[in-house]
Amino acid sequence: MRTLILLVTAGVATSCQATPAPAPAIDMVFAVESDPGLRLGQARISVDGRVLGETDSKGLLRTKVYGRPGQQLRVEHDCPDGHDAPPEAKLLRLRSFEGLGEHDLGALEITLKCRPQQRLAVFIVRAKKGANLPVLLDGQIVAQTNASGVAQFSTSAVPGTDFIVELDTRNQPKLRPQRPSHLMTLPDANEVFVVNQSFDVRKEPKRRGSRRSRITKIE
Amino acid sequence: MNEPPTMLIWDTDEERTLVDQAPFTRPRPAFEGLGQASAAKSPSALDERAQQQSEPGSQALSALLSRYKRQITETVAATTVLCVLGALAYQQWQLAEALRRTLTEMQAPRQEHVAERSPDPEHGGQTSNRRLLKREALVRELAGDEREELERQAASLIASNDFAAALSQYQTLAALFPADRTFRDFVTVLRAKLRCDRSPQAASSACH
Repeated sequence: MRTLILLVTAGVATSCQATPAPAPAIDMVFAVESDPGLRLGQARISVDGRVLGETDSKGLLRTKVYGRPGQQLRVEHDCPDGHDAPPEAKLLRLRSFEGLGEHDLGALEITLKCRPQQRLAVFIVRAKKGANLPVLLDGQIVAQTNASGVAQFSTSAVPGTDFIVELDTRNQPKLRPQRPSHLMTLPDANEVFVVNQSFDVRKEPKRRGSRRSRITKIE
Repeated sequence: MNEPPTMLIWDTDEERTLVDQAPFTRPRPAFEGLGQASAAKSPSALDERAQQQSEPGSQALSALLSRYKRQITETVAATTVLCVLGALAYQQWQLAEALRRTLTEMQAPRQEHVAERSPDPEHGGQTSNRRLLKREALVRELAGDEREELERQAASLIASNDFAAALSQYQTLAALFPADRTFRDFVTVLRAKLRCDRSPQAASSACH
């Protein structure tokens, strides 16, 4: 729905004139975001195939667009490395309407998206009674719990990736459960994952006292 | 009939009992007094006892010397252990104090640091910077001992959803251990969660 933008143009009476006047200039601000509110620089923007420029460090590009009422503009953008633009271009139709008062509407702002290709995932493992345990992420050792049973590590992956976090208890066979694992899915955002795992220490079964030798005296 | 009159029958398990045959073969001592057995006194033993009785002074002296020697050794050992423990405790206290000071400074607003350095940028600023760098280097070197506790606290803060306090804790960890990328990633994710990189109105107060 945002593709249709209402626009106020300065003059609409030029159609009666013999020589067509040039299309009016419209002040526009393009803002490129990686996430809502997170602006992104170095994104190249073009309208109807004509490159207008790149966004600055604040993720903005101020420019003028020329067009007549009823005209449809095709807005495309190229994202910087590590980001993907939406597959479909944004369409903008110019429409004119008359304002009641004399006030400046200012520049028209259009927001464009550049999705990060990878997201950051940070993990905290809190293992109760699980000190010095290797931590595996998808089968690879990535960390080890400290004496408090805490381990922290991070990775980045494509949104939607499933992670399997496993605590390797092979060196501590008395711990229960053995080799517990947790499955987590990375959303389309940077995320913190907390793995809480409690262990019980299996008690050794009591050994029966050693049987004493029986001495039988034969007179 | 040379065989002893006792026969041992073992159980089926693998245990074994060792039987000393000596008491069975050795002649039984004569009984004395109230039924207490005593070994027969040989002539050589009697001579030895007489010799011992003839030198009571030298024996007492050697016993006294050995007792003093033992006491001195024990005193020296105890003093050494106490000194070492004291030195270790003092060193740990110094480290903890330095770390605490640095953490306080790092968590304070940056404006205060700027204000502190501004009056005399030529000399005072350099001295202050040098002192700060020295202290930070010391803390960085020694914060390993405290790392475990800091990590545990940070993990607890995140587990309790206190992201603002956790951000401060991870910023401290990232400053203390700049080589560890994990802490920087935590800072990045927490800043994103707290919307620190967005408009000042939307950002949490913990971002500053």
